[in-house]
Amino acid sequence: MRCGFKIGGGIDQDYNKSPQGYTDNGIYVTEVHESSPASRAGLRVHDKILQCNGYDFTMVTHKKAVSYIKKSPTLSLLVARKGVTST
Amino acid sequence: MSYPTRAMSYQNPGDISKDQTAMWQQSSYLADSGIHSGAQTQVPSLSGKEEEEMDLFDLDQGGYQGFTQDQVDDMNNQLISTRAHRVRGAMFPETLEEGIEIPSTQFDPQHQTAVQRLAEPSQMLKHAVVNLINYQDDAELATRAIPELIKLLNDEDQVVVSQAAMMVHQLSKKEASRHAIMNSPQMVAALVRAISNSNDLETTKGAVGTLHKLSHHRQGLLAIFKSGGIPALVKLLCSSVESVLFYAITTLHNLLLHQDGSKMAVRLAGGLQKMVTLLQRNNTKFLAIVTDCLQILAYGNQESKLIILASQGPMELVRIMRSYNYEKLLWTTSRVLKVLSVCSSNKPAIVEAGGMQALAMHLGNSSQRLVQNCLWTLRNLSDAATKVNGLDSLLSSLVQVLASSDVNVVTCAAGILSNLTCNNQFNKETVCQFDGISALVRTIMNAGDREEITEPAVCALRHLTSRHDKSELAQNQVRLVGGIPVIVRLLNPPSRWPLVKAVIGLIRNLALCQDNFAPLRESCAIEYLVQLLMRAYQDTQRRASLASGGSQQPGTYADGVRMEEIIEGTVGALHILAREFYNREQIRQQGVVPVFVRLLFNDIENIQRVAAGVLCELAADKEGADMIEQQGATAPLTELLHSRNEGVATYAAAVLFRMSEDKPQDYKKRLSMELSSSLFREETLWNPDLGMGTDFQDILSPEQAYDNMYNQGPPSVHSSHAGRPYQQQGYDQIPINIQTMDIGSPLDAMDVTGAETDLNFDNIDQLPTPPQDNNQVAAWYDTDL
Repeated sequence: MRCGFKIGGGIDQDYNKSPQGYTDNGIYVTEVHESSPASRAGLRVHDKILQCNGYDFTMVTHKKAVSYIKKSPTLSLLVARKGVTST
Repeated sequence: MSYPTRAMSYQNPGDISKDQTAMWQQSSYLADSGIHSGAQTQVPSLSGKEEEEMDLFDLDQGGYQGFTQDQVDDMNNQLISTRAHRVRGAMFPETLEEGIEIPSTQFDPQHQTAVQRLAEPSQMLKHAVVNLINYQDDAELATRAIPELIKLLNDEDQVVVSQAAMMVHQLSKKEASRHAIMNSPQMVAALVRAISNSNDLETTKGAVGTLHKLSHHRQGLLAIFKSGGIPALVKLLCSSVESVLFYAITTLHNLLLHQDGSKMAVRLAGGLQKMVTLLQRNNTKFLAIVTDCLQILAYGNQESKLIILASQGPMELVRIMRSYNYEKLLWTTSRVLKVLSVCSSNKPAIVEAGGMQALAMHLGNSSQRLVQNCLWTLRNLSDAATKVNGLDSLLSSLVQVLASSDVNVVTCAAGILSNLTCNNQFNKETVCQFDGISALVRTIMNAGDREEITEPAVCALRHLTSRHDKSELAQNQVRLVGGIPVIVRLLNPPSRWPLVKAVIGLIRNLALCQDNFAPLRESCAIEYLVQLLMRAYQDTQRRASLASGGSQQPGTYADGVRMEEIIEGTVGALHILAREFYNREQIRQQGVVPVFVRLLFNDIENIQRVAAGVLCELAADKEGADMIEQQGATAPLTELLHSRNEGVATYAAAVLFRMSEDKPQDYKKRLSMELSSSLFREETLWNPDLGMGTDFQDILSPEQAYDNMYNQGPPSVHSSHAGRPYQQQGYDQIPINIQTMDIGSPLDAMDVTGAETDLNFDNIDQLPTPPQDNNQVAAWYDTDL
């Protein structure tokens, strides 16, 4: 079962190398496939995932983030979005 | 307990029963006072408190002579009237009024009186009874009260909850009721709930205070852990109230120390970030507990190390090392830094935060455990700090501690010096200034067969004897302190290959100094080098014949050293030694010229180059030139004129030129044309008539950081070649000292890089793919979900 989005980042990655130019070690949504469950749920590219099913995502390794997302059939994500959470 | 001077005797048997009755009469109510007064509630009360009171009865004895009958009667009466006091003094000393004088009845200081003998066991019995009564009271009270208190803790009214929490805290101070509390899972759960839900300070204080008390018992730890206490406690680490914070961190510390599963729970609850934030506080004892927690969490857990890094932990830890002098705090902090210093991501962060300098501040400390941890950390960091300047005081301390009698200290100091002198001119000169050369030679002399010391020490000497302004002084200094025979001896068993390789490089550097030629020769350096070359050469030949037909194997390692490296090293050293006439004579006698010629066919350019180099020196004598020609070297040398490698081509040309000395004119002319056509191709003016005094400053592969991780994996110094193709490592990294080359034209062609290369093998395999061992910071990648 696929959610239809990609994530990048994590404390084990170097955000300076991200083509999107992120500025911290957070987990970011780097792609949302069209008409996927993720896009229907309103997830957008460049959303920063703060929590996933209650787990803190601001300081996790990439691998951990992937495993948390894959762990449960439903995802409850708390995200920060530019323009909504900050100016 | 003993009462040496208090005395009593029963000369009047008739009095005994009367006294006994009196005693029991008194005791029947006096004993109670101890129980109800509350004075005994500090449970472990069999302490010395009573003994002090006993001193009141230390009366002078003796002086019983020369009394009249009246006086004796008087005294008897007095003794009888005070008998009850004596018994009470023995059994219930706390009930006596102060200041009462009780005459002693002990006649013979050797023998205790019956009452004296009674004193100790009766005291113990009394305490046992008192404890038992108290204990039972507490336990019963607690057991009865607990269900009620649980109800109150779950009450809607915050005031009620707060009162209940304080009451539980009071109860938890007594051992018996504490056991009752930890035996009730509902109670512990209610306390945890109170911590998580309440905003009331008193409630929090009472509840966390209770958990703190429980955390001193294994059973209590288990109860807290099972009730989900860890996330609640981690939450409290944000509290602004000192006492809450203190209770929370000590409880967590006890959990981390003794309760399985706590580490993972603290990590999952985000405890690491909070603890790193707490490092900014300035209570030293508090900080010592926080740092110890961090050490426990980070040890052997890569993810934790990365979290500490991402929360700016290295900066704070370095600040602590700089700012405080409480030994315990420095020790626990150095332990965290040690654990972090094996993580390739944390390493540069610690160095950048000034960790090297901060750790260096404590090398003179009187605490051995602190010094040792600082040294281990410094050694782990040192390969990432080869470009750091301003380490003078560290370098000076390191030279000093080389004289230590502690093997671990010396090992670390030598390792750090080896790394810090690698490719860092400034550090090299600084160590030379502090007379590091003599200290290192002495260290090697004292180390005997301890290779964990000799290897880094030899590496450090190798670095100090090349490529800096004072290198010649260093080369001389090694000889002056008698180092040459000791160093050459290390070429022999039981030395293992990594050490042998380092010694070969050092001997090569020492040979750059003319005054060292004779001592090196007299120490049999040439014989040993030739023996090693023969062994290594035969080994590679044997392997080549085994693998014939198949693709060429990259070469096997003996203790992490490839035989090709030994060949390159020994031939390189012999090349330098062959600059001197007597040395050349000895080399010729060893019969290695055929091997040198055969090496011209080797696949590895560096080996071709050193072989051509040594042949070039040997061709300076007529005997040498003839020997080379007899071995059929002309064909391969002519071939090598077209080598891509400038060094190889140059040496080949020089050998051919020297061999042509006594040839007819037209041969010389043809050779000259051949030389020009091959060597001019890159617009380099070439004068074949050169003096060939080329001083290849570092023929050996560039210095390698002695990167010996303390607590993980094999030392990377041994496998440092594995990361890159062998062929690429050589020539372009060798700066050549061109002044001594007698060429009048553009010289840059020989000086390919000029700049020194610093090898940090750690980061070579940073690839933009997901890392296998999670130990490297990967560049960036996505995962599709």
